[in-house]
Amino acid sequence: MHERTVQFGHERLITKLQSIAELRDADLAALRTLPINVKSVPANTEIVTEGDRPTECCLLLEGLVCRSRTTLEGRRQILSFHTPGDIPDLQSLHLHVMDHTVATLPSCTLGFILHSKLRAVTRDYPNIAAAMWRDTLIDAAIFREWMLGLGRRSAEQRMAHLLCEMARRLEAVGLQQDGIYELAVTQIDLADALGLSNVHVNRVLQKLRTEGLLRLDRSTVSILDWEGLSRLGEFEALYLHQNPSV
Amino acid sequence: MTMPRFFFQFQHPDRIEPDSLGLEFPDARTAINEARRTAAEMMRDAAMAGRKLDGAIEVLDSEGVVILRVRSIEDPI
Repeated sequence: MHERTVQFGHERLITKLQSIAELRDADLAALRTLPINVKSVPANTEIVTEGDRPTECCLLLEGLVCRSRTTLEGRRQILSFHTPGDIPDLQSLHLHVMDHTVATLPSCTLGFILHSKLRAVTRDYPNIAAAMWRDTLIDAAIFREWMLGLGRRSAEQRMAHLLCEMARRLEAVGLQQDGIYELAVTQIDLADALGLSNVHVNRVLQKLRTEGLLRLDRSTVSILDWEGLSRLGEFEALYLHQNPSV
Repeated sequence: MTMPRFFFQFQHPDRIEPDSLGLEFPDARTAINEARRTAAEMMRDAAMAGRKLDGAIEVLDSEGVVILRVRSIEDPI
């Protein structure tokens, strides 16, 4: 059982890296030797916290994770969402003290990989190092896109953009089909990610629904009108750099 | 523990957008603050798009009593 979950973890990581970078058979074989310590973590639980000095990275196998920072008064800003196959705290491999918090949103299956093992595999396999570097750069590109949204887009545009982004990212790892995907977040999480009040998020979602752009059923998002939603959110997938050969 | 439910009605010059579902908040103060933030966010969006925001948000408690009305006002000069 555990062995199967570890294999599942390797495949998740490989699927994710192959969605953004070109890897050879030897690279894949090396990734499959990485020891992964699988854990189930309840919802809304901090995995690593600001100030921590982690000795391992966490690979998301199942669920959804966010990175966040909170003001002194306690107002949280969600900085990013992470989907299965992501290593949301990959930076801790080179930046030893955490400058933000990584937490689960729904309950998650996580795979912990020792820094020493990741360091060895990136030293011995330059393609893997390049893939992880590319992933880090894409991560930064996503932050830039979010910054544009938070600073310059309207509430509706931010929401539309986020729902398009999540659709594209989940599709790349085989978790979105026909515009339907799981997004197990609360409206408070969405508000904290989009820099909006909870009431505003609620109103915007109602509006997008009424306009026939999407349907929401608990945590299942169904995009009914991709054209309309991506036009509203001015969503252009270039910043996700999902074509490994470009 | 169930939290009290509040309703947020958006008033436009030509129509009212009623809220039949409402949202739960720990107390009236939080609900009122949420409505104020929402009004500010909507005014920002309108201003960024070069539009005038003409409207109000009303917060109703579970009994249907209006506990806050935030309006956007531009005085005629």
